[in-house]
Amino acid sequence: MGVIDAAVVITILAAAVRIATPLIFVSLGEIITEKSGVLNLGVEGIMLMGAISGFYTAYTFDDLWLGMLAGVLVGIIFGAFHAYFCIFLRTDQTITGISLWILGLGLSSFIYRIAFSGYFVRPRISTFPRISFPILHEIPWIGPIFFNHNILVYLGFFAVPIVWWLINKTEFGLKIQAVGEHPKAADTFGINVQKIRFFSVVIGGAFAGAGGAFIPIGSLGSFVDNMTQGRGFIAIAIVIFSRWNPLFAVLGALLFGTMSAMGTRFQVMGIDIAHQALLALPYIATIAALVMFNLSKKGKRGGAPGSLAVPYEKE
Amino acid sequence: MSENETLLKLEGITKRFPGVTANEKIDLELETGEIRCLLGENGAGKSTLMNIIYGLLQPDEGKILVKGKEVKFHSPRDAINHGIGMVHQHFMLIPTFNPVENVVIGKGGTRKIMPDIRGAEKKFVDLAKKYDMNLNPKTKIWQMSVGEQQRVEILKALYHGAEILILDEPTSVLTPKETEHLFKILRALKEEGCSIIFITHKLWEATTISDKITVLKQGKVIDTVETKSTDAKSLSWMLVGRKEIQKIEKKGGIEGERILEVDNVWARDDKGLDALKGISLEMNRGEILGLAGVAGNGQRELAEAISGLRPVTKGKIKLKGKEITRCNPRRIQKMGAAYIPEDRIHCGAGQNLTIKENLILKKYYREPFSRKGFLQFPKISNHCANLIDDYNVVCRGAETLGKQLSGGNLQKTILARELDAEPDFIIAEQPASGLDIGAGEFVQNQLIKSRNRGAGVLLISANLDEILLISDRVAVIFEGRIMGVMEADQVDIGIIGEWMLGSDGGKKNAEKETESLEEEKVQ
Repeated sequence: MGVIDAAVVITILAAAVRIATPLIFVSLGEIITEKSGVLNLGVEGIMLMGAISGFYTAYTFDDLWLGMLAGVLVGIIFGAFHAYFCIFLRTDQTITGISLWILGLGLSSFIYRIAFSGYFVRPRISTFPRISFPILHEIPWIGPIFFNHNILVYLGFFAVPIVWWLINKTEFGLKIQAVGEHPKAADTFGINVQKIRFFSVVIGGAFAGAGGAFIPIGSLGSFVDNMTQGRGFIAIAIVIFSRWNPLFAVLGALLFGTMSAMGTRFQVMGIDIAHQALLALPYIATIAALVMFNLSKKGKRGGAPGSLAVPYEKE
Repeated sequence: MSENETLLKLEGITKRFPGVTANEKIDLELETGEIRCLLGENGAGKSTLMNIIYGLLQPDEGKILVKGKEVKFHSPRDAINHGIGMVHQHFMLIPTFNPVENVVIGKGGTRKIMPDIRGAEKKFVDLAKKYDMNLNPKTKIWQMSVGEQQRVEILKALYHGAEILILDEPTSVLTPKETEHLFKILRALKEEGCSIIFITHKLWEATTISDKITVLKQGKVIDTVETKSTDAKSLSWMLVGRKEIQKIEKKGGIEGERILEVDNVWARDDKGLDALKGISLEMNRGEILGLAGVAGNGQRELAEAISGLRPVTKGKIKLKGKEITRCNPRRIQKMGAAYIPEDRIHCGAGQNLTIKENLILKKYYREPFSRKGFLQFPKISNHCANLIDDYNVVCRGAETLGKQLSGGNLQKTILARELDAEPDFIIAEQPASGLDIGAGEFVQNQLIKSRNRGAGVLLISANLDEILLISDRVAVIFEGRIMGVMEADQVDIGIIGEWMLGSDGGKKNAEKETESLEEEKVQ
């Protein structure tokens, strides 16, 4: 394995940071959603919808920011959809989430076929350009790994402390936690449980939409059927792994990113492992991380919101 | 004159739920600086009435007046804004927050982006000091004792300017000492001009703490009396409509063989911490052993360990001389043990099963109810009809679902299932909690009947009165250890109380016992 030298490691880790970005967006949003007591398993579908609407808008208007905005808006709409069903109609959150995923999966491919029928060459957009941070990008290792990316990557990482602050330091965050832990108590406080939950799910949807739009706009430059490849579900695993803490969610996302980048890189390098095994690497790592995490979790609550996935009904 | 100012007035409050009228034309007047007890059995409509005052429910008819002005509460927030605070029976606090965070959003928030935690903490600590409450504002609620949580609830209400404080059965979770502390706090509040509505179904509390007592029964006000001019007897007459609470008759104890031996048993709770730390108990046939103690000191774990539901990490349990430490629940049950769990809704009965199904849960696989793998429905129906009759389960037939039954009737169903096979050993965990006096007595009578026919009954209860009423011996559990055992007819409440709080009254007792033994010898 003498082919693995510093340059390769840096390439892999830099790719890991880029791959981690959509996961960071989605898991941040899912943390907010779940903190309020609602489980949204449909983020995978919302990501796909964000990806297609982001790509279509960016392609048609030739404006990448407009594309991101479209992704976020569609995320909000689908988040509101999930929120309406789960909170006001009190449907089963698991089933509603899975329906949302399947809806997003089919609808995104359908829209792509309608919008881009008759193209012989796969339509492409130019992605956001890389911005090298002055000075910082010259630091050995750290520089090329973290400070040589496009603006969206920086935005994603910047959002992490913001979301942490939102949840833990603001009044809105306290309310989110309150309705997720003990909605009845929150109700006696005079907090509108359904309203807070609704906004939390919608915000989560916006993040998922942004995460989905990132993939064509910030990374690949084109749309492919089911291009999220289960990353919405990986994000949900990351949320559990992080104990609903945005700061740890970054670590989870980077772990997945690294595994994913390694898999791709090893294929390119022609290392003699079945490529299916390499592709499966990040998913296996996620399962292993979850298992290890749950085995090591000693006693106590494990950080899950007390009323996660339990609809609230006034008596 | 300000002493007698009417702070809160209810006029003709009526609230109906499907099938029941929870409150019927209730009138109530509360003066400034008054402690009012609301006395009534379970289901008398006390909690409904308080939830209406606190804005959690809206009345179908009637008016609420605060300081002479009519008000309409759409949510608790409105009530809080009119100076009404409530301490719920099941505390309404966010377990993962500390007290200050609970207080800050306790009025629906401050409408600021970032709440002023530091300012709130100072105000909170000052308030706690004023009423002599020792609370750490940084401890999370879930790490606090029940008494501390209750004090946080009271402070939360005061913090938001409560002039009327409603306490819903505040003592049901407290030790005697904590209850005393609570009463002291309430008296101090009264001095400050706070009015208090105190809900209870315990007579002595009502007569100890209140200025006036209002008795509720079946959703109606029976009477409001001055505490000074009444006594427990006349109150209990109003309450239950009979002359006095019956003392249940017990036959003289049967000297019986050893039925249960628990020898130095250790077990862990759901968090993986040691909940039982070397419990040793012995029980004979024909006796009721009452296990007293404040809830959460290992009672549930002990009951589950004996009935085979919870692994025992150390020690031995023997039933009728045979070791059952590692047996599964069905084995233990087949050896003649019955278990009446505390959580009758989640653990004791299937909510979506019919009464019939619930009744045969433990023997559906046996003859004559099952033959060659097929259920024998005519036999089952027959059997169930008899049980429903015998145990007086009020229902619309054997096909009624568990969740449609009231607490009392559900408990009767569980009793019927557990006691029908005439078990030799019964664990009854809080069997009468949450039941009205009638149903509670029925349960207790059934336990005594079982005892009289020679079964051993382990009665686990946080209600000391209940334990003293029917036990032959009383043991006290504290933090997973047995603090001591006493004969019921020689019980010293003071020592029991100390044991329940974990202080070593045990030595005193040992001295006392030797003393009394010596006295006997002298005689």
